[in-house]
Amino acid sequence: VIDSLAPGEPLTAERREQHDQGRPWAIAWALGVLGVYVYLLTGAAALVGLPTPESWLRRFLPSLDFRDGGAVDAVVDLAFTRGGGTGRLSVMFAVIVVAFLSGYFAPMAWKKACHVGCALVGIAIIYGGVTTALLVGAHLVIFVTLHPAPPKAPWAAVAAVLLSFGFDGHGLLVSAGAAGGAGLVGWALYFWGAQRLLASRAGAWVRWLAVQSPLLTIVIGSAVQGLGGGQWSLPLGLLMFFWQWERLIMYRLDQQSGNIPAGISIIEYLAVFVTPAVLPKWQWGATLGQGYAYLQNVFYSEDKNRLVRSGAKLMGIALLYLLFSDWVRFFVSALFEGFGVPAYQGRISAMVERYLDGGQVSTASVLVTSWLDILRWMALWAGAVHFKVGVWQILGYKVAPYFDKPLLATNLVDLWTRYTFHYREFISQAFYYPAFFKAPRFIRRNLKVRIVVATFFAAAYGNLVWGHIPEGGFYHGLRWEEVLKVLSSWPYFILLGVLISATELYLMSRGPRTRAPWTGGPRILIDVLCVYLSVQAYGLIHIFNRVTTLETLPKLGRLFLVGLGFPG
Amino acid sequence: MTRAEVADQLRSFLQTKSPTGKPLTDTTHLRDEWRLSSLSILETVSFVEDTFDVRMNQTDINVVTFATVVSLADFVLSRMK
Repeated sequence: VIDSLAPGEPLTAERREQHDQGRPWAIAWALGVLGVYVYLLTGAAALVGLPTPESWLRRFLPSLDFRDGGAVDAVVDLAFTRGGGTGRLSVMFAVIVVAFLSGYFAPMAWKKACHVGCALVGIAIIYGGVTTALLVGAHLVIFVTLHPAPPKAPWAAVAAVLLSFGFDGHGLLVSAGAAGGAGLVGWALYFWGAQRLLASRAGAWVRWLAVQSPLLTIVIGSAVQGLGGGQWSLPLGLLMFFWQWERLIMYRLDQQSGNIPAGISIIEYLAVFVTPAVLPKWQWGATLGQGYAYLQNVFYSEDKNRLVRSGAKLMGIALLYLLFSDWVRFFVSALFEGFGVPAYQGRISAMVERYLDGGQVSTASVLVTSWLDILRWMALWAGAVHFKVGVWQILGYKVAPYFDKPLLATNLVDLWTRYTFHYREFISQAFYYPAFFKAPRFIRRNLKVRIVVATFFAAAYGNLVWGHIPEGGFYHGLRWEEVLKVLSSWPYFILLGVLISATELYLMSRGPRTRAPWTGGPRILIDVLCVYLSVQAYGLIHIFNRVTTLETLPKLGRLFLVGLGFPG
Repeated sequence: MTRAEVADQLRSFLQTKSPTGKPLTDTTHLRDEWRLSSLSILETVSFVEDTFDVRMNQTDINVVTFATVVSLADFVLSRMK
């Protein structure tokens, strides 16, 4: 039984079995939607002699970009592949299909193994054996650090490493021998010394170091570069491991709450981190599915066919975002241009650049551009994360949508929840709740102060340091300038903390609601106004979400005030 | 205090945090039906600590404790003993 505030009740094995009855129509749903993706995104059409997507879509949707072979260039792609062609993308979709089918038909005890196995084979084919070995190796280190004394687990991981070496084109025997030898030595060392270390008082520090290794690598690597010691280059396998730093923290929080069984297998562990659902756009939505407890609670928590249908539907909705969002954005932007209000195609950065270069920007232009920019990001985000959630769901996890109709949110707290649900859960679990419960006595005396401190700690500090500094380093390299760049956007995080705290104070002080939002006839107009104001406020503070210097900060402040109606 | 008395006090408090205006019953699922937000959870924690003199920590925020008013009342009673 897993205790977490995940949806639904903790499940018994019997309930899961009841949800595992096959239906042919469910398979048809998933394969049908994935088939459309393969046709549109992979260039398969040209290979089998069908009209390419470019040959007919370009006429209707000139906003789309296309790759070689006439495939649509969409945000659902593979991370860490420069160009990469559509061949690797085909492998990704093949991995998802095989994982879905094998998991669908496999007995309950083997489903997660099917998912992990497919993901490992896919990663090995797409990124090579060395990358796979490093990724698995890094997870093995975490696994044995967090779960000492697993009798079979290290051997399972060594077997996975051996497998991945075989895919790297080296002689299989040579690779197997080298990896096996290294595995044996590591295994012996581990049982000889590491277990004692982990069981001692120092073990807590070792576990902390392991869980915080991504952020520590960023900070230390960037500091080394800043001091002139040369720039560290992270191997891809490690980078892919580090990119799930938030999920690693949530996994550890689950363990500290006693929500992870002591005898967890390496497959159960890897099923949290290495599954086909994390393959598409690896670096986006890294918190999706959260940690072990959430995923365990939602695994086969509903009839698998309903989950498959729901996942296929989400992937279908994602497709609409991928195909039409830019077209809509350009259309709306052109509409405002027609009224004499430059909207910069919904890019705040373009507007800021113009303003910093001495151009004039009107209040209407600031408001429209910042609104449209949020919509642009929402559309990009929705396309990618709906697809990823869809994959989780067809694999049998009732994962809640990451992006859940944010334009129905009538306040900023609700907007953040609906816009980026799983990330917000990470921030809540890792910063909001701990800051609330561990607040010093003088803060605990007043509930409002306690809530504001916890909110500010989470939305400003946690969000900036743990949410964005690692991302900056992983995207642009371990350089001190990158850390400073992220830190220099502090006004955005401060304003976000202020706005969310103010919203929470308002929610605390208002009386009980007499109606749910979006009910009650004409009062819906109030909801519409609240949505507009929430998105507008969130958009306006994004003026500061960039590198700021002592020279540009006052100018950005003036632009912000222009947005609020003050003269420029 | 009896379970019913604790549940009554909790229900009265949570009713003031109603996200929809609907009445709260003993079987209403606080997360799935009542849409208890993270803010409301912390307000509830504070209410429990102040009213029943029971200390709560982060691990108490889970789906078993916060399932319904009754499960929350059971938790409070177990800590009061």
